[in-house]
Amino acid sequence: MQTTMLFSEADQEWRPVPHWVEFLIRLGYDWPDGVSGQRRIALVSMPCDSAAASLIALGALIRDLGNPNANDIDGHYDSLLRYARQYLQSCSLCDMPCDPGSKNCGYAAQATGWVRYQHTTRYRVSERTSLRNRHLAFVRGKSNLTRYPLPEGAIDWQIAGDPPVRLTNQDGALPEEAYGQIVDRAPILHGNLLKSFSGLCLAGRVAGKTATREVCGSVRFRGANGEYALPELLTVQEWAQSNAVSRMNYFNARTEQFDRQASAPALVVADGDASILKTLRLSAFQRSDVIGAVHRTMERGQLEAIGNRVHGLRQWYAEDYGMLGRLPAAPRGISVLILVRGAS
Amino acid sequence: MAIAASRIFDFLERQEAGTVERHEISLAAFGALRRSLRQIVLRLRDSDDQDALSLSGQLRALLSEWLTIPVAFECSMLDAVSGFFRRSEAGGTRWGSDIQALYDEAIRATENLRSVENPVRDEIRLVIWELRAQAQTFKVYCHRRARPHFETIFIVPGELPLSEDTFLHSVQDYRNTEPFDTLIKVGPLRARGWGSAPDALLTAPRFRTLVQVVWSGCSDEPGFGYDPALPPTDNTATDGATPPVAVSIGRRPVQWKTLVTRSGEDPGAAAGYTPEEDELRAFREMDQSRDERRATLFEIAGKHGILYPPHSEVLSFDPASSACEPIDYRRPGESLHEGLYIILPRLGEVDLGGVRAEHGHYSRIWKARLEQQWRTDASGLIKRLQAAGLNLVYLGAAIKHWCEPPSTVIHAPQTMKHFEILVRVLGVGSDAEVPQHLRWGSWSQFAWVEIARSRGEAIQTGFEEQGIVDEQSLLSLRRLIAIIRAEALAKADFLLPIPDGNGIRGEFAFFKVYRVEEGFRAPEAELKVVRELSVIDKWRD
Repeated sequence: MQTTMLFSEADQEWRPVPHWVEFLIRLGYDWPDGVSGQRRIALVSMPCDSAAASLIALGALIRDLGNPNANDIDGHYDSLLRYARQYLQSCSLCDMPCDPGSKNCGYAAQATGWVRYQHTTRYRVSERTSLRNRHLAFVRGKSNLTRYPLPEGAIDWQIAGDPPVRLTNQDGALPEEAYGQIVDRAPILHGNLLKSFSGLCLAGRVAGKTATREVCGSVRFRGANGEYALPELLTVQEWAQSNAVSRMNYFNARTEQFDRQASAPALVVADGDASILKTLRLSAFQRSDVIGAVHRTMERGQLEAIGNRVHGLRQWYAEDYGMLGRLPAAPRGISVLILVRGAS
Repeated sequence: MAIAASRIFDFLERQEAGTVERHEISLAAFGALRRSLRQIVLRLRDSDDQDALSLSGQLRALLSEWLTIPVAFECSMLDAVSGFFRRSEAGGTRWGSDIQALYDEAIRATENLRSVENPVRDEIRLVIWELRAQAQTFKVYCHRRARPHFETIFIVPGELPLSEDTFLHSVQDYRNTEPFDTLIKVGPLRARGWGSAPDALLTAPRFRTLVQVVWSGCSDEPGFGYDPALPPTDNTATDGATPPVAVSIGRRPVQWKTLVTRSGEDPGAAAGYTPEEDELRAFREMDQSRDERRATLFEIAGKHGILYPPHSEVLSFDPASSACEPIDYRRPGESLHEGLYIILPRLGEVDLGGVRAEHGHYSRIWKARLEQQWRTDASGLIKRLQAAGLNLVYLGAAIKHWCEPPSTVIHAPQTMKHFEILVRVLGVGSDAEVPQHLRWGSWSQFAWVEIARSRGEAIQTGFEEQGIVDEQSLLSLRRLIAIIRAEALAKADFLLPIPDGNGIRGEFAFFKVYRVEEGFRAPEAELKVVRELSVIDKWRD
């Protein structure tokens, strides 16, 4: 990978990016993009607590920046339709405090019905929406001004709480030079720096989003054009003011909520034992590739819970020696297990 | 994340191979004591007699402690053995001549050990002297209660005491420690139970050398050094005599080089001396054939604790202001941890006379009499209790403990049989004092219900479904959150009466969790109730 950047952790002095960091970023970067259709599950075990999951996720994010299909534009009109359907047929009729797990309504989170037009004006899904004919209708507040977006103009609309699908100008574009230096010569499509993507997910620590961010926040990179904190590079919504678009869907393992309305991600990187167990259990991730990062300075019971869960998959999965062989040698202290589902 | 990960990786990269220096100690007299006690434990364990089972458990705990902690031979260890045998003079006739012969052998061995310094302590002293001479940084991994036994090795004139930061007591302590030169560990490497240590000692070393001081015959647990990302191995194939010498980590494993040094009597040379067996392993195998469940200990104040089986839903309170839902059901090992409060609802319809108005109504009466008799004639009281059949190992210490005034928990004997003996010997509580409408039970029965209730063994009659009770408890507690927060600021443990109009009657007892420890197997009746730590030790794996 031969990154040209410098690295600092926990406010210590700048140094070349250490081998363990390079290895983890490379693991995410080299992760197959799912074209084979074979689901993979990996467990990365670390000798200490670290930002391992976030670094793997960063590698996968850089990989996706070079993928012309890695954006939320193509399926955006369908996303709006799904959101409208959930709101009209379920959430607007529900008088319970929102708890999809208890209600067993089949949704992961509440659809409030609110959408934004060109990042600013608030509208709500209108009852004039025709789900059968795939025609959307949004109404603006008390004015009753109703708009009927067409598929080709759908990217002007975003679900409230979701990141914008695409920026209309260069302000807020992601820093190409940072990603391009972290993985040297990584192909990056300029257009992707302006677009959000929800196919990659970081499942945070079960302690919550703040705890996950704190761990990430201790890691910084410095390149020719400036310094970049890991939370900023990950583009998780609300983690950095500078991020207008978000290329990382965040799953809060404590509340079991996503930070956006999105369909199942292609790859989930789970941080910590409890988060991995949840990721492997929840139906939202049943088709996703999963990379779990865990440290070994835990009680035996916790280690066994993870080990039993992952090794229990061996009846359907085989070790992916090919993938392991393509990776550089793991630094001393890191163990990696990659399982791939047998061809069906 | 206390230690920067790069610091750990830099340390591991510099280290081609770690070293396990295993010092195996033999001593004929201690071997004889081990052998006789082991056989007593195993034979009494097969008995149907509750006293025999209880004695077996106590002896097992004692022996396990001695094998994993550097106790001084001349102190309480020998008092405990000889005291136990003194009170068991009738043992030969009660449990057979074979047990009597084993008693006699143990007594002889105990007397032989009186004049001997524990060689494990000698070895630790020598190791630490050498490390200090070489200016090496070192730490000791041990249970919190083992710590004084290490400290006393160096409490002599001219010795530098062991400092506070020398000790590591938990995986959290280990996780937060900077790399150092040498780790000292007494006893075999086991993931659970007596002398347990984190697997990370081998899979995520923070040190270059592990000095392990063990009694001969005590083998490391097969599979110690577990890494969930490595393929499962067949643990039965290993002999368990040494730690796994090469723990495979990724494709550049940390190598462990094991050097074994044996000292003491050569098992082949001493007459009548046979090599020791592995008691810790034998006891574990014995457990596996019994109907016991794995459990986690939650240590609370006053040397008490509560065992919970895996996947329990424990009603608890999180005092942190950031807690999303302060009162909730939480799981051991997941969200129930140190600093939180366990809540035991003491609900029910059992009318205990005065107790509804006053927690500890009966206990105040018998404790006052106990305290008075202990003050005036302690040795006479001990003799009378022993003669009546109350044969605990540390009876004097137990009586002092029972004298303590009732708090959130009522300190009292652990079994009803022992409690009835105590009440009878004290001559307290006439049945005539029981209110007329409660004449269905004796005074001692009501006093015992009061004790059991304080331990969480509440009799929840009058409710058809436990689920209704749970739900109602949760709702009631959430309404009381402001009061609970105020109480928790002031006290570690407290009782909170349930106000009228909540659909349930009784009170909630709050216990702050000080420590969480895995590695117990206990019968159903010992789970989810408050017990003294000395009693819980019996269930250590």
